[in-house]
Amino acid sequence: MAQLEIDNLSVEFRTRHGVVRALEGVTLSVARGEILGVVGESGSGKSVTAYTVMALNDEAAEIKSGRITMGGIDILSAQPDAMRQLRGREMAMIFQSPRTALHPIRKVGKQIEDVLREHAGLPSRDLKQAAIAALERVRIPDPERRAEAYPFELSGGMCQRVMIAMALACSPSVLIADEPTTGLDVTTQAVIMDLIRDMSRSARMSTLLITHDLGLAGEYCDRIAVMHAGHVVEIAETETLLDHPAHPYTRQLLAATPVPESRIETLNSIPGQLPDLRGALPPCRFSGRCERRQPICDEGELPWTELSPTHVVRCRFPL
Amino acid sequence: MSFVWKRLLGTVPSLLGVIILTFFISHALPGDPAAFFAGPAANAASIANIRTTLGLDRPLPEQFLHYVNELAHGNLGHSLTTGQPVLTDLVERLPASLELSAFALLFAVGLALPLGVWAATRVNGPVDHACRALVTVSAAFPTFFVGLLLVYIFYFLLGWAPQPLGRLNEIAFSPPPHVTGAYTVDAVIAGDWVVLRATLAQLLLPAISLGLFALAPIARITRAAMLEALSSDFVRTARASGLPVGKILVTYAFRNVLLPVSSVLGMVFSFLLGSNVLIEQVFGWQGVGAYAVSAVIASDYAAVQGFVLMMALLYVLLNLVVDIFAALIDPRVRFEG
Amino acid sequence: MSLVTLARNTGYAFGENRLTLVAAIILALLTLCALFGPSITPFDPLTTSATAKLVPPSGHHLFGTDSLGRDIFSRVIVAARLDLGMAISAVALSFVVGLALGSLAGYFGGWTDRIVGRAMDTIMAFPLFVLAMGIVVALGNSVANIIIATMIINLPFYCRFARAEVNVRRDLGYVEAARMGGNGSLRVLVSHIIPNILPPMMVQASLNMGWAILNAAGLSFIGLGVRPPTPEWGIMVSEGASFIISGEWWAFMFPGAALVLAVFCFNMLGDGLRDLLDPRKRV
Repeated sequence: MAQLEIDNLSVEFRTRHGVVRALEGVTLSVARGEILGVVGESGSGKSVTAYTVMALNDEAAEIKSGRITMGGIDILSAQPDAMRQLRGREMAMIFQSPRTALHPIRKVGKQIEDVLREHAGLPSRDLKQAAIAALERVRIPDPERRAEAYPFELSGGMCQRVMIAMALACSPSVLIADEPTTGLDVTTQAVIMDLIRDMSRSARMSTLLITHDLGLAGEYCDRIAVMHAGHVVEIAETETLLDHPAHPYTRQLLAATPVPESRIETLNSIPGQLPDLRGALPPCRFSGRCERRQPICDEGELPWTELSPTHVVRCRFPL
Repeated sequence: MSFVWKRLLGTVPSLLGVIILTFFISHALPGDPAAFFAGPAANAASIANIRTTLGLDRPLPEQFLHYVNELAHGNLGHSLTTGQPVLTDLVERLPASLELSAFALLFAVGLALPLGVWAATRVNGPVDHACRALVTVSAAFPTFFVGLLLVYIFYFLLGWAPQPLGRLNEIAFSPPPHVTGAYTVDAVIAGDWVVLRATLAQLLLPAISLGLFALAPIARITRAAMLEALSSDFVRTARASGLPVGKILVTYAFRNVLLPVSSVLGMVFSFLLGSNVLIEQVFGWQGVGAYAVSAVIASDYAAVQGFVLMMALLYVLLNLVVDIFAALIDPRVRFEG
Repeated sequence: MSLVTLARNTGYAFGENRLTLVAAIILALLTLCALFGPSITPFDPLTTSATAKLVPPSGHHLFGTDSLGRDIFSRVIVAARLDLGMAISAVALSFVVGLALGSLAGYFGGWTDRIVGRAMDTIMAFPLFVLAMGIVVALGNSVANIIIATMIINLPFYCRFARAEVNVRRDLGYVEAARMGGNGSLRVLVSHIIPNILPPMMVQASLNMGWAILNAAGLSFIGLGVRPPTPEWGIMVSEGASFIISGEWWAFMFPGAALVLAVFCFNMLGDGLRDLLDPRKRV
């Protein structure tokens, strides 16, 4: 049974320059103990999806349609205070740039205590120990001393561990990781991702890993959803997606990923640009950049094609 | 703690600069300093007398050493108008000015902080617009004009405020027994609530007039810093962790506003110490500012220069306090050293 | 920025912000008062009248008369010359000297920077109004010395700004190119860097004008610089102050309002200019 289910979610933003149709018909689900990767270019709607699940969107956001359920709870119709209580306890999120994502002049131990104080229902005197225990769980060496440190005294990797500790302190059932390793050096990236995977498996959390790095997704995710311009275009098990991509966009993404043998002259890029999400948009938002485009691609509703029980693609002419 | 020592040592160049500049202004400018110190009523004989007494015929470096020596002994010369040592005059009147400035600061900060926070949490709402309007308009009013305006409206027209006779209506009340020199504090110490009330009533208009101009920069920076904090990554994390709104506003957002506000305080203090003079003049306040103004009018040279020096030293001290306060609230400052 | 672009952007900025345009118009009017004041006033600002003392505002005397029977409206208009003149002179001098010192310090660094920095720090170690008082008393009680004192306390403002701006541009590409083209340091500074920092410095100047007016008015309020019977807004407020408690409000109100108007308009203009030059704000 899927812990997190997003069904036909459409989100718009009212801005000064028009209505931005950020998400349309987004459908995905994450089961317990599973890591689902969400990949796509910048601006494809990955973060908006995450923020909508967490009810952290800006005031300008409007949910046009869809349903989000987490452990049976209807997220979209929940009251703000109910959502606040869920956040940090049942569902947690970690972010990019961990140093700036932590309170700059508050000790990291105290910041974890803040979360525990709100959600864990522990007596005050136990909070400090619990915070240290949370730091231990993410394998921070010398946690008692580290708890007294400020974010600016810690490395980027260490800060990310602190964020993970904070997120997992109350053992949530859903974890959303929004580009958790972007900006960290490669070795630290691997260490942090290993940590996330281990925590995810051992606590049987549903983990949504958002990244633009296909290689990372390929390494750590069970299934991958590919997003383009606010649409989910393909969802498949990792191996299937990497070896037999069905959507033209996925294939181009894979082709564009440089390998060590790549040379500058032969680097592939995906032609065209993301369509302007404010204007009139065709049913398939990739059609403007697609070499397999047919006239029918610009007409009618864009259907989902099920290639197998675990492989769906949103294309009229899948590969 | 070593941070405090470092900062303390850091004030030495400023103190040196202040002493050198005040020496330069009083001894080394074009014109005959002896004539200045002797005063407008002096004749050639007394000027010559002063010249030798104060050592103004000596070479400049020697004069400087003499000057520093005199300062170290607390000798700022004698006032022509009161006949007393300038230092005595200043020390007598300082508590009155400090009390006034303290209340003005209290008013400014007490109003500006909540206003700025409120404006930031309800952007483009009525409070925000009111805040921005207040900031823009109050920055255009000369302090002395505000004082006079408030006297006209609240004393003459509405009759709410007492007559602007100074610190206390001496006909009706007598000042509390001298402990600190600040009437409010001394009244509390003596348990004299009647005098306390009268003192506060006299303080109301001058403190507001003085504090109004300081309101603008503090409110503006509070609003800006609060807005920045509320849209920051770490507040987003706090929200994602489901922390209560109050905690986010106070512990997460507002704590990060204190540092920018303290950085503005230096300029605010410069303004307060300067405009004190104008407000004391308007309200007949018996502080160092009024003393300086009458010294200016009477060309009481030593008194004016003594006043300038004292205000500068006070300002250096206040800046030091602000620096230390900044280090207390922001550990990053401590690490930069 | 070419003149055409500047003109177009000015029109845009003024169109966007009506308040800035209104401020500019009012300042233009005040400047006219300053330039032609004595010729356009209904009365002679210095003529006293024993019979018309403290007359309230009326059709005859728009702003009423003061304690010596002089027409306040005429005096307020003529005073514009002194108030604006003192402030503009002080700001202009600070601007030029501050630009020179700051540019040299920012470009050459080393001892130049240290000495200039120390000098500016020393000035800033004083509460500025108090320092101005001390300087005027030391130099002598005259309008010229008010200008000098105001110039000195404004100096660090321009000096530091120029220093920072020059510092930022010193190692930019086009400056390197100019140096490699064989231009001497001073020439690079004057011909290439300074023209580029003039626009932001002018914004600083207009933002600073209001403050300069307030300082000069404050000094004259306490009796420094301007002597009666010279009309000047600060001293007029001081003269009118004693009559508030007997209800004769017009003597202090109108010159005070003139000060507020002038400072407010300069602040608005400064804000407008700053927005004009900051492309980010024009979204």
